[in-house]
Amino acid sequence: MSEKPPPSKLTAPILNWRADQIGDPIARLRFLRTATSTIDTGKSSARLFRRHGLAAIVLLLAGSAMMPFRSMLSATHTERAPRITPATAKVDTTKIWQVESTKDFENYSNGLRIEKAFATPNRTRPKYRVFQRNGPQADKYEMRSNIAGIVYHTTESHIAPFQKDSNDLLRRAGRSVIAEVQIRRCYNYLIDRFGRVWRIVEESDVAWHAGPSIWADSTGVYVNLNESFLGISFEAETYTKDRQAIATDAQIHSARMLTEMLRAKYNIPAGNCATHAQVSVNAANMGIAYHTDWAGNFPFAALGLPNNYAEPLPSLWTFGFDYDQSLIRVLGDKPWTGLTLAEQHVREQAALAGLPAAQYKHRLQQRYKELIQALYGADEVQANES
Amino acid sequence: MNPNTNAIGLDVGTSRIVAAVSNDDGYKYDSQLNAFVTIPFTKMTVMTLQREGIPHTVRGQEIVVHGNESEKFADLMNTEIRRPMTRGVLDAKEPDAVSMMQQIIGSLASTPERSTGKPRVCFTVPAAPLGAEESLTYHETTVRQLLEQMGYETRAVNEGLAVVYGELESTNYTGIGISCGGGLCNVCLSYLSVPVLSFSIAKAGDYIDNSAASMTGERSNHIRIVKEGSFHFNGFFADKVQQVISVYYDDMIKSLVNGIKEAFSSARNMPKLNRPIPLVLSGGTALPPGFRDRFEKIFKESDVPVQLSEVRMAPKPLETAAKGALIAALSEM
Repeated sequence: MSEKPPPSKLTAPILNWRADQIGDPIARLRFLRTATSTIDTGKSSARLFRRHGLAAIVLLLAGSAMMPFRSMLSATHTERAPRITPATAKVDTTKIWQVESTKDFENYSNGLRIEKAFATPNRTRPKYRVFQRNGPQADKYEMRSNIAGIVYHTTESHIAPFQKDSNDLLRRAGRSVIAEVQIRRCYNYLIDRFGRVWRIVEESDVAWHAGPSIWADSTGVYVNLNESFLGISFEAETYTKDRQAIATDAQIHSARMLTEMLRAKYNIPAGNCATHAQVSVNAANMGIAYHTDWAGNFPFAALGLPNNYAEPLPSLWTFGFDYDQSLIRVLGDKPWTGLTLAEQHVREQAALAGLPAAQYKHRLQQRYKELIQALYGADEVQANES
Repeated sequence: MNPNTNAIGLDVGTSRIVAAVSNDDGYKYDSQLNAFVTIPFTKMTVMTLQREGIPHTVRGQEIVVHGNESEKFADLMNTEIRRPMTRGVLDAKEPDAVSMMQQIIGSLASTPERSTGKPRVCFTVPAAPLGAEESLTYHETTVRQLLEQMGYETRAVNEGLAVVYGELESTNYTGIGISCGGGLCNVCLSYLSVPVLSFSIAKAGDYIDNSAASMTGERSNHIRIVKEGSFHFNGFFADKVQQVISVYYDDMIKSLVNGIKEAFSSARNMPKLNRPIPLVLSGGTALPPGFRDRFEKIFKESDVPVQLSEVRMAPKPLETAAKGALIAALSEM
């Protein structure tokens, strides 16, 4: 018969209470196994009581109440990022290559044609910091230089009806948008309404597309994605009648080919293809989706990608960002599954840390501010917030 | 719960090996009999086995059929099945034990995807038999090595504790988990997930089969098929085999309850339980209809020094330990 000392009668009710706050059975078991491996046993409590009487009880109550908090909060390894569903959407890299390249265009074996008439250089892509997934902190990062992902945007420009009668208007509007985004170095690629793919900022250079933004994958947390992610924009408008951006079939077809080519070229995981609304944050009010392009309705499946709206949203679980009813209205009262999952994860982590969710979230937010300050200095923190 | 295909729970039992993985709908299970039988080699037999997708290995002039189909073949050939394990641990006298276990585990469909790093497997191990400090090191180490050779990162979990992890989340993993298997009955009292007390008794399914077989002159295999197919505790038995099975079932349950009484009475680290705790029954030997009632009756008559809030059967008795092992694996990720 094997025996192991149980938690003492002083700590057990506290552990029980805290475990009751955790909804997910696996997270609850994780908490109990971690906590019971660090707290005192009944034996040591009794010994202390015999020696020090009432004072020992007071000390033990305080100690047993604090010990799990301490162990959870001080040891960063106990703070866990949510699990990411392994993306199974793979690109067959052997089937995609550049067929020809002229000064005006590039052709690829999957049918993709890239127009280069508006291609322009910008600042060369520098090395960037990737922070650890479990409890990202300003001083724990690694430097990388690879292109890690793609952010999808809409131009939010005026959209003419997509019909034959409007052909001239569609062409004029398209050219005007391309010229505008070229001047502002807004994206790496733009897909006009006829599905033509225009290179704007060279892939090797930074485009000013993501702004304050956050994403995470199985290898780490990315903050402000201009350096690490490519930007692809659809000529489209979010605030149409039904408040959803609609891409034309030609745009979706081209976006699929472009995404395939870029994923094959840079070995980009499917999980790192996200929309601007998913990555965008506002440091001033610690809210997500400061930009709402592709807040819903993004054709992930048509682009050969998994539904990334269903993954726990990184800005929530890494740095305690929040959202309000205005986003829910934009989403047509259907919040992403990823929002719910991320919120649930934050609640569980708060329970593990023995803190109310609001207090735990505040700590995460503080951590974000420290990280931005370490990245850019105090001035940039203010700029981020403005 | 997010699906996590990189973890697997494995209940390594004397009679069955059950694997559990999580998917979109919760948990997915697959099981194989932990048994094999050798039959003479013919090309036609090999072709038939291949066509039917029956797990087998050709070895010289014999064919080894392993897993679920071994029982049928043994019955067909009027021979006894062979088993890699006996009384809850690897059978040191069975020369093919390790290789057969590897084949059987390999034939389970619920293996995790390999694309997302080294998969983690949490496998069940029995507790030491009551009253004996028998070493289980050989068994645990060998199974661990076998799984590591198959590319898994391994963890072991006590079988009774796995039942608690699988079924007692509502009481914060406090209660008694019992797995009535083929070789052993495993018992664990868990308090807030800590295995405060665990032990096994060697009277379990095989004990019933072998004892009833020697009484009736039938083969153990046949007794087992009757026991799992039509036996029930209703006080009326259609034939002698069923009556004999009921006698040995009673003996097993009494030994189990006495074991619990003895262990609880002599335990040094018993937690102070402020409220009654639940007891969950699982395992293939607990399957016959009426088992729960019979167990509860004997338990109540035995003055065991613990108050129970309920005695219940696990919803999926054959899969509970594997589910608990999977939950243990996931809780470490």
